[in-house]
Amino acid sequence: MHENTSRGSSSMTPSGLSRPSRAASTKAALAISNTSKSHGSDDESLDESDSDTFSEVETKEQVSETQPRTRVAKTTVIAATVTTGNAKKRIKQDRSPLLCTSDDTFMSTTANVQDIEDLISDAARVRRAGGRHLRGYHLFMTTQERERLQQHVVDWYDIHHRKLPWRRSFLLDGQADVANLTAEDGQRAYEIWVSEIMCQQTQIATVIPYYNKWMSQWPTLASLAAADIEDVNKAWTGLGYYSRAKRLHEGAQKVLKEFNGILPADPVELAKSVPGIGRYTAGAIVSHAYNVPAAIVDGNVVRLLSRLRAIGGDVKSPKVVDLHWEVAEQLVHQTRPGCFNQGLMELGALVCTPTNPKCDECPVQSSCRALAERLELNQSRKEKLGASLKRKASDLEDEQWSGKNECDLCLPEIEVDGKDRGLVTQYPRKAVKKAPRDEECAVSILHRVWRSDDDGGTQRSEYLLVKRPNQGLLAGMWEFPTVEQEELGKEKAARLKAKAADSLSDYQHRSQSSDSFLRTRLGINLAECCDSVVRQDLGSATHLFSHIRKVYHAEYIMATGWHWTDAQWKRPKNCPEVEWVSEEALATAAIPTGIGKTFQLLRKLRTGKSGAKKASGGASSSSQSASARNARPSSEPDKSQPSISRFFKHQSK
Amino acid sequence: MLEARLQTAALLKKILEAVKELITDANFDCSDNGIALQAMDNSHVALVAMLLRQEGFEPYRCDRTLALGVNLVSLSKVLRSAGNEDIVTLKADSSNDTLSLTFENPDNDRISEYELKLMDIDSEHLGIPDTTYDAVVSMSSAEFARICRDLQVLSDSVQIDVTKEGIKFAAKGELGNGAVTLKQAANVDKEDESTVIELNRNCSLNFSLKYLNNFTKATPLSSRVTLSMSSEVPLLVEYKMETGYIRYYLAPKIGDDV
Repeated sequence: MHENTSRGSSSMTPSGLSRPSRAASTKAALAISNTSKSHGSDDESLDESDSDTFSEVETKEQVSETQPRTRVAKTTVIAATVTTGNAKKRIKQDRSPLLCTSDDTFMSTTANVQDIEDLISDAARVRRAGGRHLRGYHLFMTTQERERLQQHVVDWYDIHHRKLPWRRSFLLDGQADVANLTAEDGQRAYEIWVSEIMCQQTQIATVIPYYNKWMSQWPTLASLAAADIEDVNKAWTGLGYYSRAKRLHEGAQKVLKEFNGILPADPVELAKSVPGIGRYTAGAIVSHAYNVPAAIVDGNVVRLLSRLRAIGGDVKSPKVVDLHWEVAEQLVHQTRPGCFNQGLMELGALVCTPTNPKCDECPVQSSCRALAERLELNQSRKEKLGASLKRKASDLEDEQWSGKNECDLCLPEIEVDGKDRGLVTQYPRKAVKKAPRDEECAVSILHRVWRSDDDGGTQRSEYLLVKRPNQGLLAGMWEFPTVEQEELGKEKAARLKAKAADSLSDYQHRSQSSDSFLRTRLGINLAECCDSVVRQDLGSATHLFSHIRKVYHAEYIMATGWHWTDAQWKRPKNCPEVEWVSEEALATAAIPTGIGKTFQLLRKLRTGKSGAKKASGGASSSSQSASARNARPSSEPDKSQPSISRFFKHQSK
Repeated sequence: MLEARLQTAALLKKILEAVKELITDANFDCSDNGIALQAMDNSHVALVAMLLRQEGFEPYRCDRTLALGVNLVSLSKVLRSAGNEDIVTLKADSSNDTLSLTFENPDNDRISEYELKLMDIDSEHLGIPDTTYDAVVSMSSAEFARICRDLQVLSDSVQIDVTKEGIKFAAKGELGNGAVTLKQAANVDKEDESTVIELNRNCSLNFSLKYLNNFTKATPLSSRVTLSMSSEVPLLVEYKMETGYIRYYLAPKIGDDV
């Protein structure tokens, strides 16, 4: 993973040097056709070669303009751009002061106008359909689209790539002979491998000196394989995540033994057989070192692709990750995969940055759906304020979507943090972390006291533990017999008719649920198995899991004079594993913390500390109105400090 | 008629030290339960509630409730003349507007008697509702005092974040920022120093360090302190004594850029 660095940004100029001339001429034509409306006469002399000058002029205008949101020249260019695409009555609005965010300009200077026009009209269609779109919206559907992007990326990379010690392979021409890898190929792969592993989780600037030192110490894979692990770790000191060094070392030994010292050129095999190499690193090694067309997706590429294709799914979800890989595989350059892949990463690191992406320097802006969406949104905002529009009529109906391959990955905008809405930076999207859900369960601490005949009739005191199912939450751990919420809920529903205000925390209801659980699931009939039963509500304990806030309502059931033998205890078929343990064993048993807390409740009860929390009504007392009677003190220095009497009610003495 | 005999003057001295920074005058409400005190500080930002149960006195007699309005500065001055090990006897009568204090040294060969004039204090009694807090943190009182003192250098407010992993105190100020995190229950051997968190919900609240530092004046009373928090509810800082408690309440600061 290449980290972002700011290096190189200053030297960048609006590219497009290698752009097809069609774009430039269109752009020039547009600029000229619209300058009649603009106020500057110097624009009129523009031609292709002056495109950079043009942008400078625009920038100056932006600065000098008294009203920053009314830059006429820019407005006209963009409006005209859209006009040609949609052939709608938009031309009248080109002077509207409302459109024009400061960077609308660059379209006129660098972009391939026709291409972005198409994307803008796509974006308009998606927005009008309420955000619904086909899956193809996220892919590069035509060869033409793909080739254009590849060309832009590679051209840009040739000029703007950072010179790094392991980027010798850049000069590589054509694919290595995969079936017959030479020692030279192997050496390149080794260098890439080391650099890729070092770059994981670490900034490139930090990596360079380590890389150079490493290469002087172990110039070849064979020398690394022969190295002592202590030395390897020492050379790694300061980079962190030492398992990386260990895996490199192990990997080198394995490659030497099994692959004759040359990393295989098949990414799948590479990822499978070499420790420390995953899907990404494998793709990086084979594409950079052997020029094998393999896709790579790292954090930078995810960001770039999600913006280029407006992929609005949660980037953490596997399906969305797969989609990114799919797009990357679709795109990968067949003849120069190494340069193309590094170009993608470099673009993500230098241009398509997480915040403040440099869209006006971006070589692939004409393929960027996120940018098109933003431009389209600006355009539509302007429209809404202008002439009336009959949008609804063109809305796609539900049936029109049936049978089509609609995208179901993108998150609705409401589920996304709102601040970037309408901006390029709204991608990649992360799902808003959901608040942990509340769950309740009823725990029965069944305590049996009995005399065993085996050891002379001493009194034994034991607790019943049940093993949880091998799947799901806390799989395979031991706990007190517990009725989970669903089961509590079921009973509740049945009971609800009879009893109106029933609640899960209602002790009576819980103890009935526990009773039936013990009887039906464990086959324990409390009335038969012992002489007497004492039951007591212990109150509740709360435990926070990462995604669940679980409330354990605990009940203590003490069964004295337990006389059932194991034979008498007829367990039902689906009975989970059970075990009786002593209190000492309980202390060391592997029981979940939440269950442990219920036992703490019992302990507290025994030591008489009345540990069970009082279930007082409202947790918050802030509902009480602030007392006006209470004069504020004359010298209140801190306005952010509220008075305590806002929270507590005054009492007459 | 009140008559209460306390085995060591040290306890009373410590209590006075714990409250006199915040409040100047207060009523000691004496009933057959014991002696209680509840007062807000001058700016009505913090509330102190103290209770000394009657079990703590030997003997304790109070046949009808009495409110003894005391200037706490004067009382602590008088207490300064008592030795730490002295036995203190408090006496008051409704017919008399003085509080009488008798100090007897452990050898019982020196007896000093003082009478402190009482005052009429129009106290505002606040009802404190029973609250289930989102987070209840029990920790070493000395540690709490140290953290409040250390962070005061940086800012006059502290953000307290409680998660199930631990409790974090963070302060941001002009000269920089700092944070102290205590992890939950790391130390089994030293129970007095462990941090124990009972958590229903994570919480993150801002409090005035000036007040918290005032509260830590009660540190000598107990080796443990309990911080109970819920959002938008005053923080409860409690020091438990053998036969009573001292509780401080402080509303969280408003606004997140404190």
